[in-house]
Amino acid sequence: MSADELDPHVSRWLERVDARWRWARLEPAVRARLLLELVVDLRQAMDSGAEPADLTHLDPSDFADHVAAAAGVDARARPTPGRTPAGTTSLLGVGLVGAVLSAVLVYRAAATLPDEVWPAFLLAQVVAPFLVALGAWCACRFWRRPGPAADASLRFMVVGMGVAGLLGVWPSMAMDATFGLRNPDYVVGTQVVMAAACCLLGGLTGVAVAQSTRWRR
Amino acid sequence: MVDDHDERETLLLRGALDMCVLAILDREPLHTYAVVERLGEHGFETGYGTVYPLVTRLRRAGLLDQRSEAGSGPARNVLSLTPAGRESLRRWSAQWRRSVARVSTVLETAPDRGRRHVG
Repeated sequence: MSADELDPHVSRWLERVDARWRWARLEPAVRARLLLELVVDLRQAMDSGAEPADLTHLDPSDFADHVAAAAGVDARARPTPGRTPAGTTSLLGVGLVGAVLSAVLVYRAAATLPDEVWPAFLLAQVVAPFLVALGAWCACRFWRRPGPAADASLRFMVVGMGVAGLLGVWPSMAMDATFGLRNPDYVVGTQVVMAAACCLLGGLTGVAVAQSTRWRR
Repeated sequence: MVDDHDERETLLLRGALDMCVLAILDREPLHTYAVVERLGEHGFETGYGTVYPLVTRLRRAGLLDQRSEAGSGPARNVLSLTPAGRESLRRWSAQWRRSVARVSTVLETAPDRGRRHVG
């Protein structure tokens, strides 16, 4: 018996349950067993007159977690090498990568900057990537889309931090080279604006990734 | 502190849900959705999304057994109690009655104490 034989609404819900188990990297055999049992049970329920809405009122991710935990395979806490639970893990890891990227950029930019703007520049360059990470992380948490969405978002953030660093460095260097501006207030202001933009960018990306992943699931 | 009447009732009954599922299945073997319906008939506002994981947990604990039952249509999986499930139901029922008795004792003595304070 396959999920295709079920009501389309129930099938879609079932796909999202399975997607959650797949994301949690349940053993294929375990996942197949849980899925088959659930399909049979849902089919029986519908044969008994259950409305699709009665069966699918619970969030599929929550349902999948509850069933996996009940079956002895905790989908949220299951240790998987090289993989960390979404939305809780990786702020530290992401921040570390961001700091390294920033350090490289700061090192390269330092030679061209006047001494008086150097501390503000350094601060902004370190803070901006964290703001990107924080923005995307908060967006995913706010939208409560753990799993693939948050994972994808975190991956994006690592790339985004490099972009953020470039965005932060480029205007200062370009303007400085073009107009010869060496006003510390101007550089600090630019960095603040860019940091805010980075945070907004991270947040919007988190939302976009969360939404698109939800639609795909 | 839970003030909302419905929420309070839900919290009170939640802890007894597994026992009620065992009690329902002790009377007759049923499939999961039928258990949801029986619970509904007894005033439980419990959905399939709650009962299915609970049944999975009880099966894993060895308290429920699922077997295929042949009928006129496709084979149906029905749940029934194992001997361990019956023993758990007996113990949990006795525990529940003791708890209810304790709470009832407190509730019955409380008004007297209140009246003494007023007087």
